[in-house]
Amino acid sequence: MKLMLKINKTEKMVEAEPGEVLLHVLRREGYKGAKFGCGQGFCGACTVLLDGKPVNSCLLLVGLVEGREITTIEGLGSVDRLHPIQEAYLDAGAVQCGYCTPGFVLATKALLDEKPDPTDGQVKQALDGNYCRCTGYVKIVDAVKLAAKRMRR
Amino acid sequence: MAAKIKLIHYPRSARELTALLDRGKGRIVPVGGGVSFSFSSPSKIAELASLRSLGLDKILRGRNGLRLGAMVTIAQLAASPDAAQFRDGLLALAASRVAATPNRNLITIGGNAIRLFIWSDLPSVYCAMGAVFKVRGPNGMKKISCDEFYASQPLTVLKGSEFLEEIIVPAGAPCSGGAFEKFSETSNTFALVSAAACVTLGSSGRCASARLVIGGLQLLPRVSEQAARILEGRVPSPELMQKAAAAAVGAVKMVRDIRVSDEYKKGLALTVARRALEGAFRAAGGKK
Amino acid sequence: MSTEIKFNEVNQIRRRVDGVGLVTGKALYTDDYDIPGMLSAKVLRSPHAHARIKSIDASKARALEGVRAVLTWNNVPRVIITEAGQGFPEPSPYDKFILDNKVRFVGDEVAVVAAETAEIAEQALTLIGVHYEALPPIFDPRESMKPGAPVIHDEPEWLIPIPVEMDPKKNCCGRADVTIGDMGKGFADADLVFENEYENHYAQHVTNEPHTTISYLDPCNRLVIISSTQVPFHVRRIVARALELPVKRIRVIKPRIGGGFGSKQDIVTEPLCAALTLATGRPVRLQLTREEVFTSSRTRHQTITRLKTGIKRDGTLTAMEMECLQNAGPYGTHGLTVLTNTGSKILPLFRCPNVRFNAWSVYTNLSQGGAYRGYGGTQSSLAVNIQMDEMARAIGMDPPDLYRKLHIRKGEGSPVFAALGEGAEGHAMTINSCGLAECIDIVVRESRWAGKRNKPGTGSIRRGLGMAVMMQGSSIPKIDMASCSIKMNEDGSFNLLCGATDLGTGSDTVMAKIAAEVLGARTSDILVYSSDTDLTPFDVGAYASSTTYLSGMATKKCAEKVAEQIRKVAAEMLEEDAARIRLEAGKAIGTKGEVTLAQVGTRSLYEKDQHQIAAFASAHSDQSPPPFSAHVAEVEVDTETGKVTVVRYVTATDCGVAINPLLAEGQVEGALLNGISYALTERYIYNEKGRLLNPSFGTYGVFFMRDLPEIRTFLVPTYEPTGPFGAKSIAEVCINGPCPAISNAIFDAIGLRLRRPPYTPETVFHAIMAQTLK
Repeated sequence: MKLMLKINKTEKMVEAEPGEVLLHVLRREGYKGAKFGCGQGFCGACTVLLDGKPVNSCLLLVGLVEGREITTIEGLGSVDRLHPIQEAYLDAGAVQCGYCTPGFVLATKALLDEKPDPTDGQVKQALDGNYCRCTGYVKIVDAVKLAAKRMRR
Repeated sequence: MAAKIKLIHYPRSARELTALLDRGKGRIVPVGGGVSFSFSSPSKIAELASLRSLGLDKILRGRNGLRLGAMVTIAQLAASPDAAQFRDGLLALAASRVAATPNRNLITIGGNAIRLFIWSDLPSVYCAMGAVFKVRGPNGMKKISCDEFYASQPLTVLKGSEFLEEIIVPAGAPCSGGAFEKFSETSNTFALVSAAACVTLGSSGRCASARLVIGGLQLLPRVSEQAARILEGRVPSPELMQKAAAAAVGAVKMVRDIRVSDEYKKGLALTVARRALEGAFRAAGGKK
Repeated sequence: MSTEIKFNEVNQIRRRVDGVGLVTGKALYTDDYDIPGMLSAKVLRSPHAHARIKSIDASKARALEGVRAVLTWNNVPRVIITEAGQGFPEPSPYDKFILDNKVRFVGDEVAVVAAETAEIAEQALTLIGVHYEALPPIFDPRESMKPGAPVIHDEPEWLIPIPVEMDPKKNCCGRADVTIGDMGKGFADADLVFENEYENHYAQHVTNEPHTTISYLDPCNRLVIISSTQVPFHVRRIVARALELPVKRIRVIKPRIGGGFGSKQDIVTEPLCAALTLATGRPVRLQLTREEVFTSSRTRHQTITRLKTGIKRDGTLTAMEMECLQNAGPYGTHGLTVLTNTGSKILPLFRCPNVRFNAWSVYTNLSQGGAYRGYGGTQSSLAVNIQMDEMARAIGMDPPDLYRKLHIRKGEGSPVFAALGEGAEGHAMTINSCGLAECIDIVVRESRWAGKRNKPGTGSIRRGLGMAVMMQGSSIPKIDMASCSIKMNEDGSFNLLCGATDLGTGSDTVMAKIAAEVLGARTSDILVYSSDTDLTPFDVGAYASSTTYLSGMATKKCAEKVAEQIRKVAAEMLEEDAARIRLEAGKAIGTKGEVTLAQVGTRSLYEKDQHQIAAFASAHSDQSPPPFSAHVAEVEVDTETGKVTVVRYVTATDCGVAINPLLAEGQVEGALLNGISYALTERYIYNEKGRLLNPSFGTYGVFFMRDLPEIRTFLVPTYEPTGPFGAKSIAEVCINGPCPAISNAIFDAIGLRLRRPPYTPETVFHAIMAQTLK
């Protein structure tokens, strides 16, 4: 079946069964930044923004997102022009294996769009669905605070 | 694994939706966030009918209480100022502790209320608060009490072409208070035990009503008659709350939890339920 | 001791060289590769813990439309191997066939299918008929060696390629028995003797990325494997053996990896994926589900340790006897070496004249043990550090003082180093750098130890502080080898090819910084490509905390050779003696003038005496200088529920010179949080038939952001003369702290000694109740 999806502000016609999950469809269409980690909505490696809010694309039926805005990591910055959040993650040492990073960066974007000056508690709540085993989360919190500070300027 | 869903409808009115469900005879079912369908769906379900276009995504504060549209997401509920100010913010608090942010952004309160799991929190809170479930079908609208809604799995309570439109949580009586406690080993594993308590104090300082619901022990949320019997009409004391919590726990037929022994879980449930009662009475007392 | 050497690139804050691809989601992990015509593979797994396969009928599965191959033990080569990613000859028993007619744990591989889609492959699994003959299983390692126990490995092909003692008929796949000094005398000399049993539990690495492999035949009919692996060269060798191919026919490429921690130090998915490519001629992709990662990849070895220590009232140790029983699981991957490391990574830490390490690794039919960060050190640190706390209290000494008195110092050695190696004899070593004293001082100060210890408070919430100190190693002496090649480009940039495997650790960046430091270039001028068995020189892979120390040394040696060539060309250009030229800030600077590296590069490639400035070097060490770390955990215990919450955790670590300070801290913090959830909540829950009941994030308790305690991280700089620019390792050591530090903190809070993590709410509550009843 043909479905019209709005991905990173661009309309795209994709071939998919409505009952397929968005993660598989996105990856098939070349958006590899969203990753498979558990397929059960726990780890957040598949995070995308749906109308600006982070969701697990492994739980989202593609048939339910017609007409809604999907933002993937590919829509945030590019290798030649990083988003300030991406810069902050690099400068704070918050990236190790990088598998969780697109999910965290998107969740950070959603947080800072709503709360430009979040407390540590708000940061932890907003990013509570993204799993990282490499960093112990410490530098990720640093990165979010750094991004917030820089973006407020 | 992708569900074998072939088509998703977007009915524009309640009538259109019920007509669809009626026509489908079980092959077409309503869908909110659709999360449970991404895991598995019975193979006979071929089509879904989304509630998205029915205007059910609002939280409305009225004289008689709070009206939660079935398409309100758990995140919306958690962030709602109306919910935060309503009856000690119980709904907002419980909502903020369901799963994690990306789940809360997707799961609707309708889907969450109907598709019950042993670890579901909000259904316990609805029952403690005496919520009413507004269900619409081909024959019109009816309001179902939480006792009836959760007499068994709501999926079986709702007839084939009915859908949950709204959850109505009544305003609290004066001098009422509520509390919600949740216990899990880590923040993202399924909770071991939770408890929601709503109590009302009479003018003499005696407990006029006590609704305690313990979650995590059995599938269906139940307001504890035993706790109510012990507390109602008496002045609440720590010993009485302990007794009420114990009686509530004792009456539950516990489902085996692979993570902990029954003995520990019982004791934990007692502590968590007691803490919820303490919190509820404290909140009620503060309103005198 | 702090170092006063100032570096230009090393030890400075630099962005990681591969960061842009990671933050934009553009970097390619195994599953991101699109290869036309790729088939999906699925594995059929055993429902039994121990059984023979009497018959397998795959005919219906093969007949299903879209199925391209079904492999069973009947149609794969029958070659006995080990899947342990270790140097050859591997110190692990060859006890596995890629598909066998016997299964040894619930989740063991029975058959594998390749089909056009994953759905078809899944469906095909249900069409494979297997007739099992169930055999009695062993679930308790204490039962494994008892007379009459079922023999898990009765295959005649079983072998161990190195001369060590193993007896599969007794289910024994590892043995160590080393005595230094006179134990009888040692205990007799003691004023007090402490003896207790401790136990470490099963846990999983829970990498973000599940194990994934892609394989295909290239136009030259070579088998190309792209895999999420820590050990590409070992993959190549072991797949070659398993599939009866010459090594030269295989190329292994390591793409980006989403975490390893040891779980990808084994050849887990590659053999079956490759076998399917050979059977079908097509590209094949095999990715484990999250559940399969839990049930059927690797775990931390469950280990039961009996520790007996003799001590004098002044804190002097007179004897230490450690007896370990390790549960290897159904196959002996890393069993022996984790076992010997259990002894060697803690026994040298504290001065003691009489030491015995007596240990067994045994087969059971539970989950398969493998390499896991800490690698035995985690197990023994639990026992020793808890006993230290116990002994300190008994003799009235503050634990920091006891540690200060006993720990090994710079200039000292230990007979344990020579006696206990990796499954073999060890190598004598003298400590050349040790900042542990300063580490202890820092954590005592920063945790406010003196003011908070022994003050549990009253009420239902109690507080306590606990300490632990630990060491690890840096590579495996005389066994590990790393190599590097560097060539120069016309613009003064360099291509660095190394076998060293970056699994997210940032080793590409470490190599770049080391090379840049030597060459007088910027880190961003070094272009790193790593871990491709065709293009990059050999490296054992990312394990044993070897990358910074050993791969870094190879890089340094290689860069020095290149620097020499640069100076030679510059000398000609400047008409000066090469010995008077130094490389700095992108230039070759002589006494009379200077030229840029770009000018040197251009001249050497195009202008005069044209040649490629390039070099190659290997490194191999007879040392494994330990990093040291001291930890203090502050906990809160809710005595009504038993829940233990870590409020604050302070660490100070000596890793020599930190090549990449932010990433070094990141290694500490990641290891630490993993150690904390391992201590408190992570566990494997089996039913009575050996099936894992909690293979999911919802029921296996790893930490997310809301569980994060306050963490304070300090690096104590020392200078390790045998390491590149003074560096040692840091990757593993800190995971060894939380189990004992938290146990000691719980004791401080509630006066109860817990020796078997995880300290779940139920465990703690049970201990409190048991005490109350007494």
